[in-house]
Amino acid sequence: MTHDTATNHLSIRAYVLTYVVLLVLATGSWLLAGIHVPGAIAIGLGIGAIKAFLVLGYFMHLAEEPFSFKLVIALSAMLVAVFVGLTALDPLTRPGLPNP
Amino acid sequence: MPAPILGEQYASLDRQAVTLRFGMWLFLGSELLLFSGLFVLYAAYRSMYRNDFVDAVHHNTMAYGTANTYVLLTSSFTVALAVFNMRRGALRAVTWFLLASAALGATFIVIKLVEYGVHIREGALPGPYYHYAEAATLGANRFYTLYWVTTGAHALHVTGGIGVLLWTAWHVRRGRYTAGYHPRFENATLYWHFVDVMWLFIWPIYYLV
Repeated sequence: MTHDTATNHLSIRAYVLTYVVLLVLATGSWLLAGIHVPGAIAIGLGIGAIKAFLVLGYFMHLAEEPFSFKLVIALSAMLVAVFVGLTALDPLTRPGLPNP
Repeated sequence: MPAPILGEQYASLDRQAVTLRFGMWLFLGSELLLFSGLFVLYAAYRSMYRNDFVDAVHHNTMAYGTANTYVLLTSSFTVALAVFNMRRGALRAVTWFLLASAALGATFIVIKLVEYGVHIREGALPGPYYHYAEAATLGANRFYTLYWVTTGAHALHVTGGIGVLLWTAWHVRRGRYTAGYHPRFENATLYWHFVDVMWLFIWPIYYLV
């Protein structure tokens, strides 16, 4: 993304570009939902994660912040992924599920 | 325009601004915990009732959810433009972009209420009130219970966010923020973006796949 070199802040072009990419990704998610592919939920969440990364980095200006700011969010996101992943694994690895 | 007040524990306004923003990021991290509990429940129940959840997603109102995704992404863009204009001191534009963002937030809520009306008519209600004939399974019941709790919690956050945006627009209009010092203004915009980020994960798991 381009920065305004005078102030080290994002330029208007960077905001517009981020917005356009977000719209393209959202449309991609919507179109993919119509195609039944294996691992669709992983793809959907993966595209969601890319969109979240763009919003956090450019609209929320995390890219301009010190490392400690980025660490708070990176750790939070990582812990959520661990909680969700482990919780999903538990019922998947137990026999006798109602609707496996 | 009143001069910003420097707290005695800070060496400069810059340090004070960084601390205020860091506090906001910590708050957003704790907000994430609230939603992560709901995502964990979704992961567990989807693993247990995979086929029922996939069927329930296909019965859900994708058009409303998708429309709301575009509405929230656009509102995030207008809020980012408000920050851009604040940094260059164009306060009149800031007010208008904040008001536009609040209007988009209100649009989100209206679409959500219309969608809830559809679910109520269909009987896709939470817990013991569930009587949706087209998806009469225990897994679908679990899906819609989580759907109501998660989207309801999110809608409350959007409603709160609209209030924060309007309150901030009022203070911008009264000249409480300057181009050089506006951490509370930026924190308000961070809250709105956070609400958008949560929706980016709610949308695929409840409407798309």
